[in-house]
Amino acid sequence: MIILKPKVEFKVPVEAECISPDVFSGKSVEELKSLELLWGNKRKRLADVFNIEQASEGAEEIVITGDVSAVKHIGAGMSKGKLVLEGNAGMHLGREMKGGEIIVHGSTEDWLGAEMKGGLITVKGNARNLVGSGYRGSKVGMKGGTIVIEGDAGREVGELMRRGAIVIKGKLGTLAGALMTGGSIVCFGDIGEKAGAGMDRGTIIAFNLPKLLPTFRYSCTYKQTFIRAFLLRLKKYGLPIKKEHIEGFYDKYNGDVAALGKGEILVWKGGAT
Amino acid sequence: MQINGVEIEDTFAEAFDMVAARLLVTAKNKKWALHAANITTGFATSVIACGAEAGIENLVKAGETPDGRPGANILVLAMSEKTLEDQLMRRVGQCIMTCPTTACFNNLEGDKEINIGGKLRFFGDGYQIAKRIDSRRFWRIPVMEGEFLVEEKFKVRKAVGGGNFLILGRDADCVLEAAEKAVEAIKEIKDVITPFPGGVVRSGSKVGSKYKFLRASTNTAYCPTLRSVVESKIPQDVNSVLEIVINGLDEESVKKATKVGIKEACSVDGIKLITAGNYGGKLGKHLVYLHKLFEGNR
Repeated sequence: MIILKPKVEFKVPVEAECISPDVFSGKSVEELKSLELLWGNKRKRLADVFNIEQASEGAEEIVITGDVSAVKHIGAGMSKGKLVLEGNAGMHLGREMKGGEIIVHGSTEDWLGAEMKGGLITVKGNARNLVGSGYRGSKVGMKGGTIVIEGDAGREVGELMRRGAIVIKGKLGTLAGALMTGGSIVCFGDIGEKAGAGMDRGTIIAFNLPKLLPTFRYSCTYKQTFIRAFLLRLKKYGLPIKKEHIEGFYDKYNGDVAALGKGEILVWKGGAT
Repeated sequence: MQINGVEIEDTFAEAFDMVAARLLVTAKNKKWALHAANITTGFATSVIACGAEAGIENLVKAGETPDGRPGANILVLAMSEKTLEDQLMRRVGQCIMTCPTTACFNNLEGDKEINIGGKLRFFGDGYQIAKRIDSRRFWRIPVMEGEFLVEEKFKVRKAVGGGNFLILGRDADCVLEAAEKAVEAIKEIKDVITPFPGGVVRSGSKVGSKYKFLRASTNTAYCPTLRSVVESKIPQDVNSVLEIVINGLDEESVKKATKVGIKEACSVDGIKLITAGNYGGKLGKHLVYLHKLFEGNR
C-alpha cells in the first residue's frame, strides 16, 4: 500500500493522471517519485507535490490523505486495485475507469466517473455535477460499473449514460439522466427538474415523486421483479433500502417521448396501489 | 451382499454423459414457483422421446434468491448443448414466461453458456429492456401481467444421466412404498434429480425391439408377467419391479443418491432384490457398481 500526503498547498489546479493503481503497480517508491504531473502549466515530479510512503507491500492500493480537491484526473482509466481518498477529491476522479475501486471519504468535484466503463466508486460526502456523464462532444457517457454517492449530487448526473448504475442517497440536481440511452439511476432523496430529458432508454428510480416533464407518460402501477433483485443487490452498499421499497408498488412513466421514448422513470408508491 | 436381508446384486448401473443447466424459478409465492417448476419439468422423463430430462432439485427460500422471493431449482439435462438450448428456449418460453409472477435466473457455475433470455427478449417486440446487475445481464420482457424477468445467459456443464437401480419385491404395493422412500431420501442429495413421475419408472426399457421402427421397448427380462415366456431375471418370489433413474451434475452425486436410495428401499418389508440396469459397459462411461457403494460402510 502506498500513502500519498500532499506536502504543498495547491495554488493552481494539478493534473495527476499518474495517481492510479495501474501506473503505480510494480513500481518502487523511487520510481513513483519521478512520475510526472502537471502543476498548472508546469511539469513536476510526484515527489515535488506528495510525500510518498510505502506502508505495506504492493502498490495497487493507494491512500491519499488530506484534501486533493484541486487535483484532477486521479484514477483516470484505472482497471484494478484500490484508491482511497481520505479527504475531498478533484474533478474527473475515476474518469474512464474500467475496474477496481475508489472510495472517497470527503466530497468530489465535477465529472466524477465520467465515461466510466467498470468498477466501483463510493463517495461518502457529496458529488458535484456531471457524475458518470459523457464529455462534451461524446455520444456516450458511463458504460458500466457502479457509483454510490452517500450525500447529494449536482446537475446532469448520468447524462448520456448507457450502462451501469448511479445511486444517490441524497438529492439530485436538475437534468438527471438527460439523454440517457441505458443504465439505471437510483435516487433516495428529491430529484431536480427535467429528469430524463431527452432520454431514449434507461431507468430512473425515484423514491420521491419528481416534477416530471410533460413528455413522460404514466403507464401503470406495478410491482417490479427487476427492482426487487436490483435493490437487494444494492443493499450491500449500506443504502437506506427498506422492505417497502423492495416489495412496494412503482408508478411507471415512459419517456422521453420527445426522443425515442423507451426510457422510464419508476416512482415508488408504497405498499398499495 | 445384503442390506436388511435384501440381496444387492453384484452388478453396476451404466450412466452416460449429458449436459445440464440449472434454472432458478422464483415467483410471488411457493405455489406459483411450483406451478412453473412442475410444468417446466413436465414431459421431461427421458431423452428417448422428450428431448430433455428435467426435475425439481429443491425448493429455495425467499431469502436465498436474487429477487427475495421463494423459488425452485430445476435441473434440465440433454444429450448436447444444442438440444439443451432448444429445450430451454421452449420450456422457459412456454412454461415459465407464461406463468404469472415468475422470474427465471441461471443458478449454475460453468465454463460454457447458452443464450436464453437474449433470444426470448424478442417476444417483447422491441419494448424489452436490458438490465445489468453486477456482471449478470437480464431482460425485462413486457407481458400482460406486468414484466417477465429472465437472465440472458445460462451456464451449462457436463453432467451424468442414466444412473439407476431396480427394486424387486413381493408385490406392487411394497415395491412402490420402497421406491417412494428411496426418492424421498434422494431429494436430500444435492445436484441430482429423479426425472420420472414421482421419481419412479415402472416401464423400464431395453434397447431395440422386434419391431424395426422402434429403438426401445419394454424391459422384458424384468416384466413379471413374462417370467415364464422370456429369459427372465426375476426371482420366483418377486411379482413387481420399479426403477429409480438418477441424473446428476457429476458421477459422485449420482453415486451418493444411488446409495441412499438403495439403503432406504431396503428398509421396506417385502423387498427381495436390488439390481441395476446396464448395457455391458458399452453405452456409458460412468459405471456405478452397487457393491462398491457400500464398501467401508458395513
